[in-house]
Amino acid sequence: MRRTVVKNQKQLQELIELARTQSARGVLVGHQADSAEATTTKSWGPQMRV
Amino acid sequence: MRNDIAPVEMVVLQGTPFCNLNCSYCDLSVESRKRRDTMSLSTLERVFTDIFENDLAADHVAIVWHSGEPLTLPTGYYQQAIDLITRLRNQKARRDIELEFDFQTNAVLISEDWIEFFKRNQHQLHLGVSCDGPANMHDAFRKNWGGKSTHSKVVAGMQKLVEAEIPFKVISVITDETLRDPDGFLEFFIRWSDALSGFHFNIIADGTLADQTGLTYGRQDRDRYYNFYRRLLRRTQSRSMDAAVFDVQNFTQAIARILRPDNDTVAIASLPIRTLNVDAAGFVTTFYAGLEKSAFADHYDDGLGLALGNILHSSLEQMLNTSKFRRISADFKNSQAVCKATCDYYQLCSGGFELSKLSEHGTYNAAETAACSIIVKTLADAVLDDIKDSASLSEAAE
Repeated sequence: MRRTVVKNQKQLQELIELARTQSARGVLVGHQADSAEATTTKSWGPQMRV
Repeated sequence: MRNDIAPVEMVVLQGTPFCNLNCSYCDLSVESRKRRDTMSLSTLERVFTDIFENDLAADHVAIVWHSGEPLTLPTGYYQQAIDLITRLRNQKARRDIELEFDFQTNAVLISEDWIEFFKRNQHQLHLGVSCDGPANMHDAFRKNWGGKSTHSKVVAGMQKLVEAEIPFKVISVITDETLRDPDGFLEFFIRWSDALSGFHFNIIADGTLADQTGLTYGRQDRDRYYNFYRRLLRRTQSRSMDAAVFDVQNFTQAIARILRPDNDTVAIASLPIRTLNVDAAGFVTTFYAGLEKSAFADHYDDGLGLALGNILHSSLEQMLNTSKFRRISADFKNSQAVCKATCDYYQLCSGGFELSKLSEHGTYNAAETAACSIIVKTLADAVLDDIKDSASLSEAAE
């Protein structure tokens, strides 16, 4: 599978704009954005092990 | 409410540190997991009296029993606890504050008694089951104290929930075994998808652990994880004709951050007391979802790690007025400021990597960690590339 290098800020912004466009068109992949849990640690964030 | 804290949205309670299993990647020490301590109801009463009397609760509060196997305590303990917390809310706070009670369990001890308890409280109860996939993946790390496999018992517990029509979420730890066979991993859970209320995978943050064969990773492993994420994304999308739709919350949450990149998720996620953790002895931490005060024990010179105090000896208000609280708060803010100034992915980050920095770099004053690289950057790359490829395909079809 094609692998990309770490993206820079410009590349990220372009992709974010594309994602927003796709979302506005209602064709953003098969997933629904999960706003309720987007900003919570409820799903056991990465610091469960320290 | 003070402007330097957030309302309490989640309280993680360690009913007991004891566990019937001995998973080798557990964040609790072996000594902790052999202790039979139980959080007293008077400890619970102190915690929730403080929260409700001081108007610290958010409109919805999730109370989560975790960190130690909760089902090793009797159902009666939890019924008393639920009744007590509900009564305290009714007496000391607004009755319209919603209470949610969550259990994170390994599912091995689910019995008829537990099923009856879950059904009785179903209107306000959520279950999370820890299962790492098919037997070869699950049993690589999730063993009992005798070193034997646990997979068949976990599956039997999940089956009891299905038969009782009790939905449950699964949290699954990703290891080298999983990376080698993403299709096998996903197929296992797709078979349970009708029963699942959610699915989330967890990559253990401290990828630099040298003593955990099968769990270690570094920046050099980005390709492995990228390919894993892309494969899961491809298999779980509706445009794939041969797969059922299966929401993976890591992806849906990443998409939510991508669509709202102006939110400062990193800062929001670490707001003090948004999450409170209370261990069985009454020690309180915030800022991160951890309970082991032996982690970084002497970093704040008191042998208590990030614990702010013990609720049996100090009120939450007193803890929030200590110099230790101010030091931790300043350290976390400085850590986030370094990320914000240096990381292109800051706006897509879930936050919560401060202790990974301390573990990997020995200081908060650092930017990327191996965990950031794999859990945030590579995941964002995979999701964004998937969206881009999906857009190209739909353009070609039009």
